[in-house]
Amino acid sequence: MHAAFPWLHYSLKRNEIVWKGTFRPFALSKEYAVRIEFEIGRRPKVRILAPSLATDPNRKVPHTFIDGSLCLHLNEEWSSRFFIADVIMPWLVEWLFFYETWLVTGKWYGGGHGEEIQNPVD
Amino acid sequence: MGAIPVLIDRFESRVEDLLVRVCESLQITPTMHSDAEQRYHAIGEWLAGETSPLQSLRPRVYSQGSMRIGTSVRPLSRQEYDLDLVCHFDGVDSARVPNAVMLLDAIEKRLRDHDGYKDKLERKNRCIRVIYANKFHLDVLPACPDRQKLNGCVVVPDRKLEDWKPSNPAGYAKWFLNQCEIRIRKFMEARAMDAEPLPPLESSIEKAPLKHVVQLVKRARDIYFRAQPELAPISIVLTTLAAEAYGGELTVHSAFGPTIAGVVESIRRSGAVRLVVRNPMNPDEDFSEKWDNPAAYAAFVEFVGFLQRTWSNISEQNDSVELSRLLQELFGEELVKNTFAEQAKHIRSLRESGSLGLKKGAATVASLGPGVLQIPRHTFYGDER
Repeated sequence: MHAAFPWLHYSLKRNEIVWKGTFRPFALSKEYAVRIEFEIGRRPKVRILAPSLATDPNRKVPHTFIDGSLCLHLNEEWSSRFFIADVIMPWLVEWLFFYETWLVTGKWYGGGHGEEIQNPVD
Repeated sequence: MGAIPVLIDRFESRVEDLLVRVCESLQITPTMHSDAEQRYHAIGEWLAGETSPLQSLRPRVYSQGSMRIGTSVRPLSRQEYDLDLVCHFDGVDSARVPNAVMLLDAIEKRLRDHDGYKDKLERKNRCIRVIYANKFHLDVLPACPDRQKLNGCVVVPDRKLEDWKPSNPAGYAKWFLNQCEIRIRKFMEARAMDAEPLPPLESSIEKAPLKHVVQLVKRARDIYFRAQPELAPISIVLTTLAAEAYGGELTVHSAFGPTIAGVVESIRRSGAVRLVVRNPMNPDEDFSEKWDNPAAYAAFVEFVGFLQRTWSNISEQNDSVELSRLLQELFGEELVKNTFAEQAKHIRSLRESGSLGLKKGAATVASLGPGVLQIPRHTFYGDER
């Protein structure tokens, strides 16, 4: 992970590894502070620490869990044999791209679960 | 891997993609274009065909204006596309025509003889306008050769002045298209010097950044002068200034700033008097007569300043939300939001076809290539309400 994304720093707890770092995921994006935690046997949890994702309290940020972490995939799409660097990072970057487009247009163009519900006609 | 467009890994390529998408959606739709073309041919045949009584004046019909040079811009609501058609009478010697308006009358009379046109006509100062129901009108502009000059110069009747005015629409179109080609010379020079990597020649020929710059400036004009259209600078003035200032840059993004800076410089050089924008192919034709009204000229100068400031903010942007706000100021909210949506749909289709990947290290979304991770299949999920 560090070799692939040198700006991420990790810390180890008992069964858990946590990566933190700040990056600009693509041309013309904000800088995001991210935190990725991975506990053996569970799916990784990805959070954006800053800036705050919810710019409008009346609109739920699409494809996030109730605890604020990002929903990057369906359960069955994750396998613990995956490397975080190869799988979660591309998904995260892509999520941020569609998130920023959502900020501009009010719609989620990344596809995914509940797409129809997430794209109300404005 | 083949040539997959690298879209959002660099500021320039992402902004370029957005700008070209803006221009594409400003273009007249293919349906409207073929509709317009059909009407153009029908009217041309009626005026200049074998059965026309105008035949003895040896008429030739050709198009002029933005449709001809590829810079047309979808009008804001309630305005119409205009298509300009020149009816050029080789057989007319202006010196022998007692009153220039007779030429306008001859066109009008011929159009009134046609059941399909007679109720759609409107007299304008230099043309007869045919207004079609579906959002466009066709201006028929009579002209005859200027026997004092070469190079395709013509004189055209002016109803108010009851006299002839100098012009050269065909020469103008050639001049403009030639200005578009400056970039090809630049391209060859750059390649000879083996300078920075260049886009493939074909794509840059296809695109003609100058045409796009003109479209963008015209669109920005429509938005800026929404509340006071009577002060808006006319298209041919903007087109000419942009074409004179254009330095042969190979992309819309790199051409826009320097082109506007060139216009600002022309304004500065003209000093306290207003800028005079002439037809480069007939210097006696002043496109900018409207600026004899100082309020219109002042508004134009303000507008160009606004363009320059906003563009300079855009060039410094690192935030897509802020960039979109600035682009909306220039080109309109709905158009720009749609453009961001179209770009996002494109990125999604790249991912779905397995062509989108991530560079390690920089963590930048780029096209798939060596040293790049393909994005594995996934479905964005979440708690639904």
